Amino acid sequence: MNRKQKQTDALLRKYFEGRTSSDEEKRLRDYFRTVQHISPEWEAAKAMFGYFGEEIAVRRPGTVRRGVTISRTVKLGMAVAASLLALFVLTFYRENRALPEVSQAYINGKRYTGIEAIGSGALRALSNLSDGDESLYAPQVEALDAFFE
Amino acid sequence: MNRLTKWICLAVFALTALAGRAQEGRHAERLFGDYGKREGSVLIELAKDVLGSHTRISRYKSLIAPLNDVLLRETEQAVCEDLKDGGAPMMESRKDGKIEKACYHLGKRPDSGLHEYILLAAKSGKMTLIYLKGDFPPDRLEEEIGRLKHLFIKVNDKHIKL
Repeated sequence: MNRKQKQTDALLRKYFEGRTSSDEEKRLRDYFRTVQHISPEWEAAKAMFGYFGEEIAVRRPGTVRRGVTISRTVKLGMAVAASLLALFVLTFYRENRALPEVSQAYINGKRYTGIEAIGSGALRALSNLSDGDESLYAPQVEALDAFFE
Repeated sequence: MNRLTKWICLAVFALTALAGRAQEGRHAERLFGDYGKREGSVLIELAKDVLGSHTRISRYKSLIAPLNDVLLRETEQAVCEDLKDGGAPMMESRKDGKIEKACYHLGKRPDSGLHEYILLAAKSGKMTLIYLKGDFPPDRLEEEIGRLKHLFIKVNDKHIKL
């Protein structure tokens, strides 16, 4: 057993006793990752540290490992779904906010919500656009006007 | 913030901006707010309580205001701006260069797929401006306006067909 192997053996004992620092654990991982020939009693340790090394490589430095691992695809899907939901809510809110709660008429600046006033105003506007004979429905407009005069 | 989060945020902001732009009112709609509550004006806004399921019109606004050159010029400018987004005149008649009667299809809203229309008449000293939005193509406009009229014209609770 050479000097490096002796140091590793001591570190391994310390590791299994739970007394190693993170720096010493990194030295163990580095050793088992790079070593070519290894004695049979260290095969299990090599496999274990090899696994830990892969896990750490996948995680970003400085992140804390959580109990549940969510894949990147799932995270992306959740983010897209949340974005679409937010967009839908925003669009729905804005569309409905633009609509009045009830139909309304403003005549000379005064607000009316009665159907007669609204009907008269709408009909008057529509008849102004019509090519037909205005006299045909003018009496109807006047009749409706009478409700709010 | 990692790269993925940055891209998601960028996408959300872009979509929100797009939705905001899509929801912006037409230029002609501004005229209703500017002139609708003045002396001599009649502004009508119809909501679901009247439109209901009777027509395919989901939004109706009309303005009747005393006609003057400023209002007519502002209206023409507003309509001109609105037509830039893919709209087209369906009918336009002018006298001495001034619009007397016109009907414009402003196109389909990208967000809702609803058609928008502006109807305009300027005669007999008054200007009438109507904004319509609904789920019907230009060839159904007249029919929908007819339905709307029938909602209001009643004699002894019977509809009068125009």
